[in-house]
Amino acid sequence: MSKTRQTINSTAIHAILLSYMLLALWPIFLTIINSFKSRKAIFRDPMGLPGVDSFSLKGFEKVLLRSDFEIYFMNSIIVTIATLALVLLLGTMAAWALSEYRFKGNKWLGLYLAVGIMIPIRLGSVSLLQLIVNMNLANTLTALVLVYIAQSLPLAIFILSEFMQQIPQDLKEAARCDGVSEYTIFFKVILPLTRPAIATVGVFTLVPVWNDLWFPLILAPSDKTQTITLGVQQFIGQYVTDWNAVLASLTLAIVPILIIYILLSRHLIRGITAGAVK
Amino acid sequence: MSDIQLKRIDKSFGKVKVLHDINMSVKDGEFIVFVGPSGCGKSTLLRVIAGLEQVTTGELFIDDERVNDVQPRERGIAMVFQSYALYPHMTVYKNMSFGLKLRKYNKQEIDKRVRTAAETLQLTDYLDRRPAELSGGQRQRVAIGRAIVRNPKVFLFDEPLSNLDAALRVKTRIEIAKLHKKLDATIIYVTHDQVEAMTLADKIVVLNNGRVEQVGAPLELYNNPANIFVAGFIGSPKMNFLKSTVASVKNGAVKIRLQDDRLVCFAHDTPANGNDTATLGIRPEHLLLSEEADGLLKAEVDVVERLGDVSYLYCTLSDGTPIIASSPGTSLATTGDVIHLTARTEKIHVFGPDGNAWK
Amino acid sequence: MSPRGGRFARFPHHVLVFLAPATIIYTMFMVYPLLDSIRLSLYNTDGTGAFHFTGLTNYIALMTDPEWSNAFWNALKNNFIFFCIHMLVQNPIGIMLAALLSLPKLTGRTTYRTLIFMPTMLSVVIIGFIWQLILSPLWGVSESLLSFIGLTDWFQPWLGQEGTALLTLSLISVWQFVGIPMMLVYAAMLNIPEDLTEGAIIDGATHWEIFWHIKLPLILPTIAMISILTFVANFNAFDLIYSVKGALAGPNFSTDIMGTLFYRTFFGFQLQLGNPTMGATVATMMFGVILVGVLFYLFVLQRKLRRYAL
Repeated sequence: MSKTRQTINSTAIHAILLSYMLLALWPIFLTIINSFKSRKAIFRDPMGLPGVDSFSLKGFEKVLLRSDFEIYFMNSIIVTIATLALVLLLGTMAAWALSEYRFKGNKWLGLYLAVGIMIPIRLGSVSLLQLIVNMNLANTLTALVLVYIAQSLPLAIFILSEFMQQIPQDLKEAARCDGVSEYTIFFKVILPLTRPAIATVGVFTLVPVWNDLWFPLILAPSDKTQTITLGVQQFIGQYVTDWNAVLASLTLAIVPILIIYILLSRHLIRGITAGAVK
Repeated sequence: MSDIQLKRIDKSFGKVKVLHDINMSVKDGEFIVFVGPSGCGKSTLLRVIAGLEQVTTGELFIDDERVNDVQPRERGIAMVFQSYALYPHMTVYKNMSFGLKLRKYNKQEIDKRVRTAAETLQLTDYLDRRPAELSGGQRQRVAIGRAIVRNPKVFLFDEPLSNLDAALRVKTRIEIAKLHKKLDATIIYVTHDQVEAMTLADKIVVLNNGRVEQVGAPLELYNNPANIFVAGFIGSPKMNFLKSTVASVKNGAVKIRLQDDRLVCFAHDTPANGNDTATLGIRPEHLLLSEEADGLLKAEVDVVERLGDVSYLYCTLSDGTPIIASSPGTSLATTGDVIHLTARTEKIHVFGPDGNAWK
Repeated sequence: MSPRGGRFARFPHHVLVFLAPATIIYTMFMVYPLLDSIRLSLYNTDGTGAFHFTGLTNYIALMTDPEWSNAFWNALKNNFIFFCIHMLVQNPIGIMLAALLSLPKLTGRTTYRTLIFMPTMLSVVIIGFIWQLILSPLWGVSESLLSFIGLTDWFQPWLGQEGTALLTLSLISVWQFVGIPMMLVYAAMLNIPEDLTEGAIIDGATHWEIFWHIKLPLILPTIAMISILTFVANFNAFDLIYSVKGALAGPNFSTDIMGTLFYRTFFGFQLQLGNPTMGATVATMMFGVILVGVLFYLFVLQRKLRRYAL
């Protein structure tokens, strides 16, 4: 009797998880399949998969024709990669200095840098815009990269220095006894050892930057500097009634992130479950 | 009555089979110890009895009731974990009463039982503390207390002493033995330490590679090990093993050839043939120093370990086999000496080519 | 170290090299703008664009002058509703999913976890538009789904009605971000040793009792952390409302929250001109709300909730 109760339990658990999973995926799936359908089919049979008679790439044609999707896309890639590279470089350097060297004010500097984890950078937007305008950086990708670096550094430094504290002291001492310079120790010994944490920090940096709407909207809204998120937002605002085009633009924005997620989900989830964020 | 019967138990994790055809019975009030090297399946077997693992095939009975599909809580067992598994957010009192509260005992009854158990285990002063504020030995006692309050039919102990330091381990071992007498309960106890097994058990089950090698009382295993594995596992220092061959078989008397062509003769009725290989097993404490003429073995002393009452001589035979002999603490043997050793024939164990002892 | 470097051992130059770039960028683009915004909130601009120090006038106007205060109190109230819905729906569902995922011997754990987390990765803008389409009466997807379970008459244009728009938007946000509490709680539950749950099973606890008496008390610190993360994110939210309802946060400001109010005040809308100093004032109020939350977490919750060594 107990056995049957157990199997019913596990069936119920799977039923709950499965239905929640469907709820999580269905809207995304629905968007993607309908972007490949003709306008008529979108309305006549929204749930159906694109078939021979309903298949259409018209939406994608319109998106690519009427907007500069390639440019938005490139902008997003440039901003994200530049941010990622610089955050990882500057973040590991600072984390190393904080976790390794004992100097006056070490603790306070660590705290100062950690404040940004909790306080959103957005709240300084008024002055930030003035600053960017004064620096002649309005409507440039450089402005976005600088802001995103500032936004991403606190969490990156926090995670990385927690991780670096666990690197055995002996490794560094051994290198120092060999008379290796501090820079060489950092680049040749520490950086390679930090790789697992770097993967986690990379994902935590990449996702919010790629997805952000606010800063592209206020710092770089020009046609030439729009990122994909802003581009899609503006495009849809303009063609809100053209369902083919709207669905296609959404699909174009979703797919790259889905691919990255599937490639990196292992790192991300390991990063979270290993207690990288506490 | 709390009999336990295991019939043809097999357990696999995926493709890996960890228990093979386990059969045994445990009588009410018995103290049974499962012993074996790590990975031999002893903990898995305990978890099967607890109901934390399902058997793959076979049947498990507690008090003649088939419990294969019975939930752990309905099996009338209590378990003490290696890590103690105390709830870190609960006080000692709550840790001990948690199981009773779930079973909806009334407050007075719970209180009575917890206090009695705390008294027995000298925990009365610590009832309001949390596990983090206790020493290792105290936590260990709380873990036992949590089991006692439930009045279970069977206690299961999974390597309960392995997180304690050596001195405390001996002390707690004796306390557990006393507790067994006092509670008159059935106990199944898992350990990798043969000394614990020998000192505590009414009956030892030696496991290796998921199979039962031998079941018996401690001295029975010591005196009559069923095979090379048990012979080597039980006893400290380990039994010496000598590779040898059967020289002749005549009228139930078997002669076995040792190093330097010395012969030992056994009365023996197992069919054996000339030139069969055999392994002789002699415990260090059964090797005696002798004159060259009576010597069975000639050995060179490598190291002498003097423990006071006894000295262990670590020697090498001429064919390179290492051997340990124990000699009285007064022995004068030192490194580099050549000594002669002998043993009474009835103290020599003979194992056939399959590793099983000749009867 | 070289003998020459040894003389400056108090603050060796390599430490400076390692720390300076990050500290400078962080200070310049994060700390300075935040502090300068607070300063700006004490000023006013006239027609020529010159700034005048006016003390707390902006704050008084924001809280009492009907021109501003109606919008401000409305946005603050809506933001609290937005936050409460997250606390009441998102976090319990996240905890429940995590509890299920961490049950022993569950097959397909990784797949469930990865896929349920997926919406969290997408841009809020995208999610907003997707749900706008799905809930649109024009398309009729939701209507036909509801009719599937016999609730045809139940369907309404939830996003368009004053009474339901905020709730609907909150639930969309909940739908997207359930993955975060789920993952964090799941991670915390993985840290609970298996012996502990097995000990409870032997003690006679059911899975539900184990969750309630053992796991939940042990993950309280994680739940507190999730709450503060939710709080900060909610009082900083903007993208979803802006992309679904625009800067006006309609209908009739019923979905206006602090983020959209900030944007409108700063950049202006329709006939009203943007007002940077008033924008800075709204931003500083948001900063204040978030700060109160964070300090409450750091000094009350984190001290009260003990993290037990497991």
